[in-house]
Amino acid sequence: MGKKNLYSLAALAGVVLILPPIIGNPYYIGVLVFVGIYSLITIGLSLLIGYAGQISLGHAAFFGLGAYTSGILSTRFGLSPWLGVVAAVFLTCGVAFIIGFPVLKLKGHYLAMATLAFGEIIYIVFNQWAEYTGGPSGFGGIPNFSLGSISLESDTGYYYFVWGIVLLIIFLSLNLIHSRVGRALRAINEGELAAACMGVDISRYKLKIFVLSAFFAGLAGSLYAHFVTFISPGTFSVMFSIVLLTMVAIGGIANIWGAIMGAALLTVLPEYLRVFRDYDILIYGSVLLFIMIFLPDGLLIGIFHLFRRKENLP
Amino acid sequence: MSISSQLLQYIFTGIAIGSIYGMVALGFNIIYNATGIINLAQGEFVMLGGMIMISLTNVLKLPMVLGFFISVGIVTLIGAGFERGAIHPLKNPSVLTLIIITIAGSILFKGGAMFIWGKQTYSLPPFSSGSSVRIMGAYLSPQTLWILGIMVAVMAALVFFFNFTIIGKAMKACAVNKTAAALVGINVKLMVLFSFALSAAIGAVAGIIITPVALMDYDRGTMLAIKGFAAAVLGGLGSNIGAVIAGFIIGLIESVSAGFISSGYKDAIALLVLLLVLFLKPSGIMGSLEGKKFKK
Amino acid sequence: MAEILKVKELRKEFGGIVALQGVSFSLESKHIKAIIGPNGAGKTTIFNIISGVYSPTGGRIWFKGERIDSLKSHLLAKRGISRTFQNVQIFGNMSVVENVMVGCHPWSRSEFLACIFRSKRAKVEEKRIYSRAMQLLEFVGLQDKANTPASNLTFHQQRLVEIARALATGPELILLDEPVAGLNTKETRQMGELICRIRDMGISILLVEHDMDLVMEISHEIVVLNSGKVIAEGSPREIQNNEKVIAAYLGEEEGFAKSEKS
Repeated sequence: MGKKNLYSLAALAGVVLILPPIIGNPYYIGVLVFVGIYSLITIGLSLLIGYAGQISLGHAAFFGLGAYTSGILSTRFGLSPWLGVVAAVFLTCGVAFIIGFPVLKLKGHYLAMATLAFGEIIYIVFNQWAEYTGGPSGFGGIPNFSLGSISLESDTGYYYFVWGIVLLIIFLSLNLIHSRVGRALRAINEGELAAACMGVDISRYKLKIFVLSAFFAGLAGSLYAHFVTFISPGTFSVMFSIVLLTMVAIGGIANIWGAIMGAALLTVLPEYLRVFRDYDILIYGSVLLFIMIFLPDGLLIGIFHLFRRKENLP
Repeated sequence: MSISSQLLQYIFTGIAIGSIYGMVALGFNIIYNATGIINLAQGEFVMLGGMIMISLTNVLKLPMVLGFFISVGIVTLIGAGFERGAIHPLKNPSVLTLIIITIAGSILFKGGAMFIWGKQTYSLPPFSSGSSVRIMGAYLSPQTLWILGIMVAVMAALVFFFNFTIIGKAMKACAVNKTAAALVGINVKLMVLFSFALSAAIGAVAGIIITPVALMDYDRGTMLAIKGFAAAVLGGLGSNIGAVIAGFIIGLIESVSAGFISSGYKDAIALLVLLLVLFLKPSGIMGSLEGKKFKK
Repeated sequence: MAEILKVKELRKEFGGIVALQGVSFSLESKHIKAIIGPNGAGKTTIFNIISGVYSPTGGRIWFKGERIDSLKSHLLAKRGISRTFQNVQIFGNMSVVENVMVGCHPWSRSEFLACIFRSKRAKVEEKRIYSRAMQLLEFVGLQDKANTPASNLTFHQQRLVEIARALATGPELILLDEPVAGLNTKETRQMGELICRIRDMGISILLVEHDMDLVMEISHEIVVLNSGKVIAEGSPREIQNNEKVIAAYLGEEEGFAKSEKS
């Protein structure tokens, strides 16, 4: 990882550290917790879609699997949330492995449709398996985390907890990108034939990065469940997969920092703009279409280029 | 009701809904053949067809036939506009970009529909009054016959269009070999526009004829698209006969499993069929036949 | 064991069309062997089969005495077979040195966990990968371009990157698919020298090429392919005088005549 990324990470850590006292209002700190949770998923998606070039329209399902596993185990079986997280991550990775094995043999549109179908199936199960999931209305009473006697119930406490994890995940993801495996993934994205002839075991690498991104999503789901303490299927619909995709696209798909920015924008803006909440689908659709047509490298780089072009004019 | 008449009832339902999946699959095929794109917004054309028809006939009180043609016309324009606005401007787009763009289009249409019609579910009266025909204890509604009849008419029109009209033949030429088509003077970009318009039109027809049976709301598109895609893949992507046959198969599997297994899981079962086809035989049941035709 | 590669009765069909039939030849260790033949003769198909891109319909292939005809590309790369592509296939969005570093994949070991947590071994290995890649860039003369995005290079330079990348896998056999197509005379001469230098490193070379001057100058033996069959095999001199070959090339007389002149 280059110096630039290390500095950026330090800068982000600084911002994360000083934000709560500046904001003060626990509600808005809660919003930032969601930004952190969604960032975990978008970082994984950026690795999968942006670097390895494999689309997934089913990551809301992995998010949901993490949330439901954690939620069900801690409410119905009295398992500690800590064990819940571990179980959630294991189950999500297991499902990702099983579904990823056949799914990742598919390419392009077929892969998109297969992951979309997978997402819908899981969503239907959340709705229908009422005995455990509470059906369409979901269930509540999911306990918060606690560290010995310190409860992580307060928004600020949970904020530091979640963002600590996010910073760690960013660090580890940057490590991965700038490594032998990261290069191999990018090679797969650019040309499977050439990558294979250079010794990259394509199907194994695709599967591994798929499982890794599901790991992040499952972890995020578990963190989500223990934060909001109430979950219902609506949160994990295919529409949310598309919102996640929009977040990643805003950030510029193959860009970890952009993935966090996208998650932040699409989480914070709806809090301030009422119109966002009323016409969310319409706005997400327009934003995604606009970005893909006019700023395919994402908002940050797109705007940067726009300014540079202006400067270059005589 | 005896088991056999129950089964027959599910078969009638399956045929009706299967016709719709078949028509969605036709829409996928037309765009795929012309461009190699799977238009993930295909289901939204169906939804828009139904919704616009509802507004025209229920609110504006237009007669059925007039409403039908105006609705199809509007959705056709929407399809063409989508191609001009979102697909046409792209220069050498990657598959990933195309996937994301058609998804974006899909939720844009969905959001627009929610903006206009809200989240309510709407209905249309059946095309003809008259009671259902009773066959061996099961009821066959006139609307099912309308659906079948219109689907057959659409198929016949397509066959005529692709084999006996200049534009249709040109589109077929593009499907076989774009470069060669361009060399003999076919405007390939224009054919792409036509393919979007045509497949939007077929989608709209499907939406209009199914609404009296299945009702319509802004959120139907995605599921219709996935199941239509299941039919397209099962039938062998690009094969129109395959699409229609596979549409019936998916429709029957869905309605029979809804009746005998679980109505809550009927969508999941249809989707499982899609996954199984993708995993086991992505070339589809008719695919090998069609595939050979295009090989040199 | 002077034979590094042996191909026997190779057959390949595409949906009923026979692209190769009864193709047999072998390659001496540390030799350069050229496969020539008119367009569509099946030369690239042979490469695609040897490198595991296609599986053969029939026939057998041995590499260093072991059967390899059912192995996938990535395993063949690990065993020591590497290749370049007719229509250059570099990773355009990666830098030149990163392209070559991808080539180091077969002999490096760090997997996901080691890379994510940057284990000590992964760090050491990363340094080795980088220095090996730089060495090879120097070998092909592109050390100044190490950090340029590969898509910004000229066509000639992109071919050199492909060769450096192929060499990075640590091959004992390298398949070069039309390495001088689209290059000018000077670049072609340089490429010829480079190929000889690769051979001098002890690497065996299988070459598909249309440039007859180059083929006649650098190869030890030549296999001539026509319509999926071997019609002649021998030294450059033998091939030049072979009547079957001349007949096969009548349609492409121009190419042959040009090489005779110069």
